[in-house]
Amino acid sequence: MTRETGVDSVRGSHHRVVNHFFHDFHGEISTIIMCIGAVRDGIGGEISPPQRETLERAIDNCEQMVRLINNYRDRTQMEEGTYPRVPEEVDLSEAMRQLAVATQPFARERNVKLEIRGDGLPKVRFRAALLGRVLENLLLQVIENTPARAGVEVQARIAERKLEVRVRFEGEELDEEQAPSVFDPVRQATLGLRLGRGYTLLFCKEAISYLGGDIRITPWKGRGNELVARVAFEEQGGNETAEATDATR
Amino acid sequence: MDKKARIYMVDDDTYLVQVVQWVFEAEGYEFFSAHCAKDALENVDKVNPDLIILDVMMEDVVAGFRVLNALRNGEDAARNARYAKVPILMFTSIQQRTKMKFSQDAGTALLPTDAFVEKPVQPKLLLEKVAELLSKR
Repeated sequence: MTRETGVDSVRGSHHRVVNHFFHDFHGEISTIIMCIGAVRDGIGGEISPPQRETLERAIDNCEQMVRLINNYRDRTQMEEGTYPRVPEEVDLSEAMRQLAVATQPFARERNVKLEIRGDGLPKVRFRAALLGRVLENLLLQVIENTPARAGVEVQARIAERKLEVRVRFEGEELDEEQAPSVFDPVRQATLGLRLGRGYTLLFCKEAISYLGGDIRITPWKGRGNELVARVAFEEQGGNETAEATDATR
Repeated sequence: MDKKARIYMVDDDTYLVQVVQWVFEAEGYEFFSAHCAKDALENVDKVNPDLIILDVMMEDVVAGFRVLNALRNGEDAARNARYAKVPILMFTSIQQRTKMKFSQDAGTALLPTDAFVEKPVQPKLLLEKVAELLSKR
């Protein structure tokens, strides 16, 4: 066996293990979420509000595990070049509404005021599933790390032929030099930065880069911080922007 | 809500089926199950369900789609007509796994289903979707 075929064999085996794990994991976690949800909904008998709250938190944790394994599988596929690249038609305004549907319950639970603005955006051709996953991950991380009663504002717009999503969140302002370390799980922990959990923000950054875009974080002077993600898309009937094409070659 | 409706769940995950049975029986539904496509097709007429909850990946990766097509696009026209009126809800993680987008709105001749619900899901959402499909009958 040459070194190259050995490496290919290990990669192929890794891919199979991840796929197998992904499938089995969804089965097991489905049963756990269904069980906890049934108890929370009182199907096994009355429960107290504190008990319900504890079970809500357990479901949140399970859903976070689902996101983590989904991210890991996506990350593996991007690395291997097997992530599906066929763009589909996406109504960006509808995508922002879906983002609100996916994140508002968690914001309410955390007592965070969430406002998402994205009306009047065009329909474009895009790798929609990945974009949706990234934005949801990003926003849930922000909500989780925003103090109760504080606000999170999301504004989506088209700028220089890219979708720009600006997420402003109130709270402790990150040091300007240290802020970019929120995307590095090791430095994030070392510096004690409060935004993000483990690899989620790193996944968001890598996925956005895969989509031909970039993300940065800057202080929102006197109020908190701001994440700005820009991703390229393919216009209806047109060509994908150069950045996106390069990133996915 | 259409209580006492007969729900037939086809899924190879026996523990998941058990919990879903617990949830649906608590809401007053009658609940029946099968754990593979072959058993599902053998017993479906005897169960006479009002709604079918169908997994996709069971003994093989498209077993659920095979059941779906046997019930609605099979060679027996009378059977096709009968199951055209029984809502079939695909309960699956295949979209997550394959990244292929399945929808009851597109290509209904190929995938003649009434709804897709992605696993994992909380019981309340599954109950709501089932109630919605039953109310449309």
